[in-house]
Amino acid sequence: MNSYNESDLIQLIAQTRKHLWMESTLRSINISLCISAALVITTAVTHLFSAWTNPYLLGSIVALFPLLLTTLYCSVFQRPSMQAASHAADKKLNANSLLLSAWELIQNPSNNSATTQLVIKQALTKIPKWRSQTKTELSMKLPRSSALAIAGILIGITMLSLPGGGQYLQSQSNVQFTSAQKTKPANPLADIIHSVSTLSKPTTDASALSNSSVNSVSEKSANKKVTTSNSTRDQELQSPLSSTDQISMDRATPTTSLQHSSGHPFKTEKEQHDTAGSSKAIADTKQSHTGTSALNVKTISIKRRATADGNSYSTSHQGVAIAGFNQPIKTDRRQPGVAAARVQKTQYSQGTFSLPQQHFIAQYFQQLHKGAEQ
Amino acid sequence: MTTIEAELETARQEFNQLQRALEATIVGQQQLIHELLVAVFAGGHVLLEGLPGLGKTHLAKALSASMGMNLGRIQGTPDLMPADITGSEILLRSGAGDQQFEFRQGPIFSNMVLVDEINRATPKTQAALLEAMQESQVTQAGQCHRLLSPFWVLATQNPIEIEGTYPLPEAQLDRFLAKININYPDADALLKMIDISLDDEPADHINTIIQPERVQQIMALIQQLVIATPLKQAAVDLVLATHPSPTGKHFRYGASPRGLQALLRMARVHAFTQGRAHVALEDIHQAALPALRHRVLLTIESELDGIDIENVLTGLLKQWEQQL
Repeated sequence: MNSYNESDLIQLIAQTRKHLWMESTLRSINISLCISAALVITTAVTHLFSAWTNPYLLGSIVALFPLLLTTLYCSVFQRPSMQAASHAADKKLNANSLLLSAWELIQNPSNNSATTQLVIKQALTKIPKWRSQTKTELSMKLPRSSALAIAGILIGITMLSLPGGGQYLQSQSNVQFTSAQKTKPANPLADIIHSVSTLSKPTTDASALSNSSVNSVSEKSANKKVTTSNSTRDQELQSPLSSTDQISMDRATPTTSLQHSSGHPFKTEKEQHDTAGSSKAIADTKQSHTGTSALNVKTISIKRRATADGNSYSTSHQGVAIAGFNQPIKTDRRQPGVAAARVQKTQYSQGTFSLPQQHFIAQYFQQLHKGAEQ
Repeated sequence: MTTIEAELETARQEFNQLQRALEATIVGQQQLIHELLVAVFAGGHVLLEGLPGLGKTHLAKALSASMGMNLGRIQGTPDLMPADITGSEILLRSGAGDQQFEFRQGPIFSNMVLVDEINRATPKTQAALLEAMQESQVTQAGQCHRLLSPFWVLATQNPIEIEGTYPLPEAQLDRFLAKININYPDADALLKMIDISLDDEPADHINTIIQPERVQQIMALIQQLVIATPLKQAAVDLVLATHPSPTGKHFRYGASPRGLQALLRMARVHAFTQGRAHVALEDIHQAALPALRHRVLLTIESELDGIDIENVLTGLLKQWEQQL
């Protein structure tokens, strides 16, 4: 006589029911993971092209909402009945409906015939076998597609961490703009950018030499004028930029192009550096007389003479200041020996320039201020 | 081992013994023999359909002999009259000159009746079998005569001969618990058949394996097998699925409630042959085709399209299993 009784059978079915419930839940969670991955990636892609204040919050909501919904649905509606559990267990354990029949006979003890007892007895006899089978047959595993879905969610979250909206567009445009500049070595603007970027490097050397050297800073400012493309009255102010070098603007704004008035800033006579120079910094600005939008570009040349070990040598710094439309470049002489042009941001951020142009100008001023402070 | 368990096991062994004896007589028809025995032990009448010469009559004779039962034989012909089946009253004159009618029993008064080529008999004669098959009695001249118990009708028909035949009406077909198709035996079976039946009729020499009383005991034992309610529900679903519906577009008429009974009775016997005290879904599946194939009618369009009822039912069974 076996030692199992009817409660063991009920317990086995209840265990199977729990397994089935979890299995169903995992299956649903797998589906919801796939949905979440799709939603997060869609959200992330949308985030890259539009400005959201809090993409992480939105991404979390999008990712968690299907999971929460699925869990709620499974917990309420997907719980199998004992009959369904016994039927499913019959299938999984190849019990030939013995489990189902025994469970029903136990539940309805009115039919107490010999065959009824026999069926229950046969079911109880097979409980150990079924229990061992249950551990293997009813294992709970997430499908492989869940791993893909989780990877998709992670990719989406990574995409959400990228600069979104306008920042992304700006950075993309800036990259294109910079690359376009690199491909045009004759472009004066590239030289301007280069000069700005090199502005800060010698500063370190200069500061290292500041204790033992006599710094002389001479600044020559060559006023570079940027005028509209249809300005042709002054031949000297003609832009060396070809038409292809001109930066086209948004049609919503006046068509404007950056034109360098005097070619390469380091090859003009004005920019012949005074090696003995200890001249004071000059911020020479000219105002555009075209009456149209003009960008004043100022080339700053900084020279330092150092006599640390008795030998004299010089370093030079060159930079460009760009002023807004018809606005003179203000000269800041608060720091001795250094001239920096400071222009209010509002002078160029009123939508007159395109985003890449604005971004470029902003970068320039940042670097310029940094160099000036150093 | 409990008493009921031992009884079931003994009965199953006897059943298997009977099956093996028939398989030794009718070579290469194991499936046919199994289905026939299942239907017989389920207490139903069987319609055997197959080409001539496949051993239908031979099988019926072997079965009755192995079960120790008397076999009544009726050959279906167009001029066969109902009285030729049920029997008739004849006028008897005694020695004293008294005359009286006496009922002379027909071949239907046997435990097992073989109605050969039943579709050659006229509908009137076929209808004479209705009462006998359903109620195990015949009424002659206002008098009701009980048939022997157990009572089985094994009818055969030829599917290819149409001329001069009267297809069985649906009401008649529904009386048959099962319709079993006899397939052509394979080459090995044919070769073996030559060895055992070239010059002899093996059915004439078959011994009684089970006595008629024992058959009835086994049938009563089988009736005690458990059918769980979900399985009954599954059988109901299967029968209802044979009815015309958007999904069952091929069906013109579905299986009757008698078909449901036949399905579960055959499933119960099948479970018994598998050594179980309860019916499983597999048993219902095994019993479905023999129990339902003659109870459903295809639409005219499906018949004109050459759609086979076997294929339709097989597809239906697959759908049914998936839904469970």
